Amino acid sequence: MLIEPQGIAIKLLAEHAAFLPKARCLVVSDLHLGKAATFRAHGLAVPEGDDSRDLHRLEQLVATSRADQLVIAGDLFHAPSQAMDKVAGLLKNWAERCPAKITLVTGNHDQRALRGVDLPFPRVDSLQVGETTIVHDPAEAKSGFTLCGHLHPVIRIRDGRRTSIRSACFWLETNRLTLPSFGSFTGGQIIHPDSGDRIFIPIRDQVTEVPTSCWK
Amino acid sequence: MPAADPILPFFRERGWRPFPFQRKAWKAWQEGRSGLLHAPTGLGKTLAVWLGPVAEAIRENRTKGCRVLWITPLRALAEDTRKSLMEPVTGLGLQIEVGIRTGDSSAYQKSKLKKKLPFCLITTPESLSLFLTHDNFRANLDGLTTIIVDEWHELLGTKRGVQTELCLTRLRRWFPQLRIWGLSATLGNTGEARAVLLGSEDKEAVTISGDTRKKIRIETLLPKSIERFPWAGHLGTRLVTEVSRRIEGEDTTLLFTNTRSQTEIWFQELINLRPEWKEEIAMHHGSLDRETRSEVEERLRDGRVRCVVCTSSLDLGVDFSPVTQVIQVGSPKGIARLMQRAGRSGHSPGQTSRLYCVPTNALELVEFAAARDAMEAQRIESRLPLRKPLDVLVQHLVTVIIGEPTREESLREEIRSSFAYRDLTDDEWDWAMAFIRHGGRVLENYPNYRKVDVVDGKLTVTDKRLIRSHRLSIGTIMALPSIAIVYQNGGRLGTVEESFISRIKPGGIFVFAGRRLELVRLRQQKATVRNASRKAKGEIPVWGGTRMPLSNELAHSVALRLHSDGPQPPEMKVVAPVLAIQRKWSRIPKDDHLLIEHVQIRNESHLFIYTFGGRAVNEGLGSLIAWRISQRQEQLIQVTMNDYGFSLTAASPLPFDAETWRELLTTHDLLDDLLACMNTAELARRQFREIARVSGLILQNLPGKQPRQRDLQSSSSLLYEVFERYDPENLLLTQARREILDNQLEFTRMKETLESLQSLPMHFVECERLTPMAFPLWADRLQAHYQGTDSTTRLEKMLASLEAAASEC
Repeated sequence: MLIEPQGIAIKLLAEHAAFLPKARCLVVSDLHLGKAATFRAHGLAVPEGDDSRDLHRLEQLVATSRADQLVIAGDLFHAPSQAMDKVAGLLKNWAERCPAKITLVTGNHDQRALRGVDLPFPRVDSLQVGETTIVHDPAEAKSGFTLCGHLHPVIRIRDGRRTSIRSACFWLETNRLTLPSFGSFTGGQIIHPDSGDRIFIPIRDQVTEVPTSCWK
Repeated sequence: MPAADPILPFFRERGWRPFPFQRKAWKAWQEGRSGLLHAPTGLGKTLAVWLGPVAEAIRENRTKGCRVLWITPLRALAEDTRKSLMEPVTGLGLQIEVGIRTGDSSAYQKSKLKKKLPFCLITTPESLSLFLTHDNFRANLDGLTTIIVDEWHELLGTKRGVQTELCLTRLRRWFPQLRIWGLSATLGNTGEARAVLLGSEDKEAVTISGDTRKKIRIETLLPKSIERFPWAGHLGTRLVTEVSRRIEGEDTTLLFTNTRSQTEIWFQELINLRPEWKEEIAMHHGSLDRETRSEVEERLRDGRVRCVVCTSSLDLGVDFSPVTQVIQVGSPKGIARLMQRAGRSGHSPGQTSRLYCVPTNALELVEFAAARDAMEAQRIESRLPLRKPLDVLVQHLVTVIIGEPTREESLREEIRSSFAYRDLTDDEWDWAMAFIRHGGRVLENYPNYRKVDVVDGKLTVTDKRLIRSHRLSIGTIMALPSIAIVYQNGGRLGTVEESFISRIKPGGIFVFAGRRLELVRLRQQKATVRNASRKAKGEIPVWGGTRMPLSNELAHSVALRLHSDGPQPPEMKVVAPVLAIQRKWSRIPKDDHLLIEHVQIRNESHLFIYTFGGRAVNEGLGSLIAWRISQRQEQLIQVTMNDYGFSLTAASPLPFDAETWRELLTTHDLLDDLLACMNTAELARRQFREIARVSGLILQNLPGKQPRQRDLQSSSSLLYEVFERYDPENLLLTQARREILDNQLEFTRMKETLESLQSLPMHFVECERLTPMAFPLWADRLQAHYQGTDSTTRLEKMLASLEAAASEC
């Protein structure tokens, strides 16, 4: 689905990603690699598997979108742990195969997780792509249009009866677009948008706008 | 010397005489037997089990060292229990110490009890588990002779009950001569209740019944005119004036409602009607702050309150003797429950318990009459024990291994000596071992995972950090994600659910704890409020939780009552005109035939099917039949249900002949059809929350506190998906599915219902309009749900219909 906030063309992808056609730039956020490993290190028996699956999904997405540039808008990693070496190794192989130029916009989780870890691609605090600024935390939005992550936004949609359905969503405010989290093992938090905002959700392989009446 | 001799002075001084059942209990205890003692509340069960050990202490002059463990299901009861245990001790001038260890104990008390235990220690299942993680507990218990499990009926059939069973198993292994006694309200299956408590059918054990049958008098508030009476009325507060008159006429009244919201509503109504009672009426429910609750309990004990509006939070409790009257608002739901509530008044031997029932719809008049019938006929519900929940098992295994490194073989033997796990298979055991040692059976799925190690052939936990985090997460009680309500100056009022408070904007008004409150801000699991002006109108919170179904026994009694020809109780006389209409337009449903009514309203076809199966069963049956019909002819069918039956609604004709209905009601392929139609995957994912918490896969956060360890936050549905993808053999997933079938859909009961419906004669009645029995089902259609589709499909449909509506504008 193509949206044009402030005249900037952005394609919302059902794979929980945004694509800036002008710069051929793919943006994803919040992968939280190594989360299951962190759990295990604390005695919670969560099986391994999502990391490589998520990277594989991302690889495919880069290929199908034919992006020149991939920006990870923060929280690529979950937490510092003994498993970081393994995750970093996995990532290195992956980055070598990736045809797009990769940039990591550092997220709050990355700052601790990446202490003393070498990454095969650059890390920045924010990144300017055309007229769009990409940061991790929406609170750090600058003037102009901002793309961000961090919140893992989830919208609660009421069906007019007693029940409601939760779905990860894209949250568009006047000057800001918050992406849903890309990682499989991340969860989310319910947001309460204002009336002027717009909400988009991935259903099957498409992105659809949710009418205000369904979440207000 | 007879068992009771040393304690008789205590009775003599008070002019009492021991009841025969108390003497029986003392004798059995002295003979070294275990047992179960069941009697209604307020009959002296406590003295019956407590005075045995006390008499022995007097005889042997041994009052030091821990001799008795007293397990209570409610920590709020611990202090009351201590007082009633101390009464004879002080009366007899003994130097016997009774201590308490619950989650509420201070750090000082806790560390003191770690070193030395009193003669009798009162504790909860959770705190007992916690004790088991300390390596000196066994030595401190040296000399233990007796364990008493209070309110065993409350624990039986729950995971906390299984946790208790497992703790008892360990203590029995340490001290084989242990006498274990359960105190219970009367149940339909007391024999089984005893076997669960003792781990097996102990031939030496006794079951003692409090043989002075307590008198219970049930009276119902009869509405003057039945026309003004809503059939599916929710609130029924229109009877509040009559209720207030009843309250006026008595010293102290307990007014029970079935939900917390109803408690808030009735409290408001009473205050509005009688503003002068403001200081004399109090409220009690589980979401109120604990201090507020204890204050209300205190006032109740001292008789300093005219009326307390409450929920099941006051079902238990040691003694509220000033209570002279109990009022039940709304359906009693179960016979045991009604008896328990009635027992709150006249809470001393010999007095009559009085129960005054307030119906909120006409059918409840029948329910009250039926409950009285069942009580007189002693048809009381059973509490079915749980079978081998693996989440509780893995938690307990880690608990005992932390406390005392153990060989696998002996641990397995110990676990299998409990009732819940007596038929645990080798496969299940091996899985549990793999889970606590490696995370799962497929090792490479769990790299770097290690909780329990084998050191010198013994299972051991060495990591201090893991031990600490395990201790913090012991227990099986689920804390729902709730938000603390606090005043700006810090005073706590209680908790509400996040889903409720998040709908209220700052400045919005709501009613809680009987006050009108304005939300100031909502931040970090805390809602800050201030008092709103008195005139402000506010919403009353709704707390989630499933609606309690009518018990089998009560549903059956209702069916009997509807057809009884004998002299009619007053309730039935009031309902008679309504039943006459039902008889005229259709017929009176009964549980020895199946009545199906059809009504055409505009272009919708409605079927009403009366099964008397209870709400959960009707929910399952409704979805099942709707699904089976739509397999034959593609159509969208809406389902509603209540305790007596279910209804199907569709825009096209629905089957209305015996032959088709026999096919629809078949038990053939029942399980497969159910799994297909109920969207069990989604239900199981929800059920997994509790399992993940108990088995230690997610860490519990306390209401109003910052979540612990941010890095370890995860939702259970997310975990469920991860397991489904990478460890589908994990038995916790199987357990989630089984719990859905057993508990939520009541699979067994549903199968039985279907089997009996199969052979019953069927009556099809074409009705011109909704019959009195059909109306409540019809009125519930706003809460109806379409039979099973996954949420994505639902979402698509919803958006599609919205688009259609939008384009019409």
